[in-house]
Amino acid sequence: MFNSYKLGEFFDEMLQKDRLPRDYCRPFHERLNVVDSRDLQERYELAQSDFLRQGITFTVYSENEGMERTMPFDFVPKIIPPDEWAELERGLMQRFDALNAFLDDVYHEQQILKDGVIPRDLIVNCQHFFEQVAGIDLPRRQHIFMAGIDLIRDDTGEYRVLEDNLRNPSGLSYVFQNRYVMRKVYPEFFNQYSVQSLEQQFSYLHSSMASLAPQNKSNPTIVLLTPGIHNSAYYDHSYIAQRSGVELVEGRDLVVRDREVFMKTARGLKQVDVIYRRIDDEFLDPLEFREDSLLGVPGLVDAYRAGNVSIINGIGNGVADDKAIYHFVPDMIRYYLNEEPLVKNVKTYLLRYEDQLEYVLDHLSELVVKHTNASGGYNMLIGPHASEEEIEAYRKQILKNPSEFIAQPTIKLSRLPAFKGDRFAACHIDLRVFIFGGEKTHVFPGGLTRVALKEGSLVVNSSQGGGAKDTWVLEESPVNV
Amino acid sequence: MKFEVTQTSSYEYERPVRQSINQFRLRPLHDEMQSLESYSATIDPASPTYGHVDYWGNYVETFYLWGEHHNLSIETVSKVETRPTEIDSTLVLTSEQKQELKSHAFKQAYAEYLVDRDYTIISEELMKQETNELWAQSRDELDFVVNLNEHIYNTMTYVSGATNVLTTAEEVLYQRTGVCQDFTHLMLALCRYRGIPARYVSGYIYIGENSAFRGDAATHAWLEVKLPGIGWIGLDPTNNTIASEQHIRIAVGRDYSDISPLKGVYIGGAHTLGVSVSVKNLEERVSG
Repeated sequence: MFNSYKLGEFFDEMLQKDRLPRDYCRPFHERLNVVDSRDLQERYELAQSDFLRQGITFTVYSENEGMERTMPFDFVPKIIPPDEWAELERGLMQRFDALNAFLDDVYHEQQILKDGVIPRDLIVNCQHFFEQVAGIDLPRRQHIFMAGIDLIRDDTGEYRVLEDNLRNPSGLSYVFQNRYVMRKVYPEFFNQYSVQSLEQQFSYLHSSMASLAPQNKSNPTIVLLTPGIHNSAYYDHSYIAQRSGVELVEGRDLVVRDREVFMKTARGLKQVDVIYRRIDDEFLDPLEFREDSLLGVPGLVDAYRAGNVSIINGIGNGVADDKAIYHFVPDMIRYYLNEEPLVKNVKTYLLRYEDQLEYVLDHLSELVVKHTNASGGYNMLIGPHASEEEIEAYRKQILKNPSEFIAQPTIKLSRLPAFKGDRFAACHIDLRVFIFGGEKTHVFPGGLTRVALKEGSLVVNSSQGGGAKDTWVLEESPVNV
Repeated sequence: MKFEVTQTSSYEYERPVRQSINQFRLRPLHDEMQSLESYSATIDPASPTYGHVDYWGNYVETFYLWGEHHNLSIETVSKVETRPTEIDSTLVLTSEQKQELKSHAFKQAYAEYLVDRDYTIISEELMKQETNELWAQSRDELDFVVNLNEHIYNTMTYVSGATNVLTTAEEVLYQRTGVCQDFTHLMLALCRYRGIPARYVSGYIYIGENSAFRGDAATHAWLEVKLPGIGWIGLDPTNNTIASEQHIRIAVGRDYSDISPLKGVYIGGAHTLGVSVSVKNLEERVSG
C-alpha cells in the first residue's frame, strides 16, 4: 500500500526521509501495513454514510447556488507528540493574548497606532473596524472567546500560522464527529496509543462562556444566536449549543428592552446574559449596522454598550484577523507582551507598499496572491499552478486596487498519507486549533486537520474539495509498545 | 453670538407602533469653536434617554418605547454661544505647513478623513477634471479649498427635492443640482482627492431676517477641512462662505451616515416625519 507513496520535497508527518516512520507513528504505520485494503474500503464507506446520516454537512457556494455536501473523512490521523504540542500550546496562547490586547487597544486608546507600530489607516479604514463599539469595556477585557488559528508546517516541519480566525471560526463540531466516527469505525487503531480525550472540552467551553458574563454574574443565561437553518454552518451551531447546554436561538427569539436583552419563552421574557453569536457583525443590529438585516436584534449594541450583555466573539474582531493585518501580529506580540513570537508567520507581502507590489508583480508565477476580503480559498491566485492567462487576468485585478491584496510564497505544506482505495497517497494538510478565552486561556487539544484530498492540491478548504482527519494529541505517558 | 435653538421632530405613524428603539444626535457640540450652555431633550410618549459619546465625539441618545403609540415627538432645546472664526482666507501657508500636510504622520493622524466613503465615491477621472484648473490656479491648499467652495457655489444649483438622503457625490456632480448635504459630500470627495482631510458637519444656520443664506429650514450641512497648524476650518459651499458665528455645529463625521440625526427601528407601518427648527438670536435687540 505504500509502494507508490512519494515523499517529495515536502515534510511528511508520518515518514522520515529514509521512509521509516517517525517514532510516535510507528505503531499506526505498522497497522496500516497489515490491514486488508478491501476491509478498509468497506469501513471507509461506513464512515462516510455515518456523517451523512447524522446530517453533518456544509454548504458549498458556487455561482450563487448552494450545495450541501459531507466533508470526506480520511482515517489516517494527524498525531502530535506531547512535547511538540506543549510548545505549540505556548505559542498559540501567546498569540491569542496579543491579539486580544490589540483589539482592546484599537477600540480604546489606539496606543499601538499612535506609536506607529502598525499603520493607522490600515486599521481605522479597515472594513472590519466598527467604530460603533469603540470605548465599550468588555468583561475581563476579552474580545476573543473562541479563536480558530490555522497552522501549517513548512518543508522543515516548523509550524507556522497561516491565518487567525477571530470572528466566527467554524468547524469545532467536525472535530468531535471525526473522533466519534474514528472510534466507532476504526476502534483498534487507538490500541497502543493514549490520546487526549475530548470529553471534558464542552465543560471548558461552557465555563469559558459563563466566565465572560457581565459583572461576573453567576449562573448566567447563555444563548447561541444563529442566522438559522439555511446557514452553511448551522450544523456546527446546533451541535455546539446542544453539547454545551445552551439555548439555540434566532434573532426573532430575542428582544431588547431598556438596554437589556430578553429571550421569548413560553413563560414570558427571560433575561439573557451571554450571547455566543454566529451572525456576522454587519447583521447583528439594524439600528447600528445594516438597516436591512432581518437576522439581528435591534438595540443589541446598546445593551452591549450598557454592559448588560456579553456578545462573544466581540463585535469588530475582524480588524485583527484581516489578511493584511496578519502581517503585523508578530509586532503585536513584541509590543504588548515584550516577547518574541514562538510560532512564526508565513512571509507576507503587503501590496500597499510600492516596493513589495513591484516585487510581487515580477514574481506572480511563484507566489500565492489573496484578496484581503475573500475567505475560504476563493479568489486567490496560486502562481505555480496558474496558466499565463490566469496570471494576467489576476494582475489586472491587483492593479485596480493593490492595497486590497497580499501575497505569500507558495508554502510547501506538510503531508500525511490519505487512503486511496488500493494505496496511500501523500496529501497536503493544515490544522485549525481552537483557543478559548475567559477566566483562563485554554487551548483545545488537537483541532481540525484538513486535507487536500486531490493529489498535489494545496487547497484544504472544505468548500474546494478538502476533507478532514482526526487529530491526536498524545498523553505524556510514553507509547506502549 | 448666543442662540437658543428649538428643534421638534414629529413622527406620525400610519398604524400603531410598538417596540420602538430610536437613536438621535441632536445635542450641539461643546468645544473650542462653540460652547453649549444648556441642552434638554423631551420625548413624547415620555421616555428616559441613554447617552453616549461616539467615536467622532458626538453625543448620541437612545431610547426605547415598548407600548403602542401613534405619534412620537422629540423636542430639543439648546443654548449655544458661537465664536467668530479666526481664519483669514488670504493667509499664505508656510513651506513647513505644506510639508507637514504631505507628511506620512499627518496622513496617518487624519486617516479617517482622507478615505472614500459610499457617499463620496467619484471616479478619479471626474475628480481630476473637476479640480485640475482650480488646483493649478490656487496658491496653496487653503486657497484651493476657498476657491473650491466658491466653484461649487457657482456651478451647482440649489434645488430641494432633486436629490434624497441616499444621493452620492458622483450623482450630484452629474446633475449639478442638490441641497446642502449634496454639496457637502461633493466637496468632501474633492478635498480628500487632493489630500486634504475633510469631515462632514451637521448643524443649524442662523439665517436672520435680512440674510441671504440658504439652508433647509435652518438645519444645515457643511464641511471642515484640517490644515497643519490651523484648527478645523469650516466651509459652507451652499453659501460660499467660511463657517463662522452663524453656524451652530451638532455633529461631525466622515459623511452623512456617521452623523445621522434620527434613526429608529420599530414594529408597525409607515411613518411621516416633520421637523421644525427655530433659531433665536439671544443678543438681537428689538429695534424701535
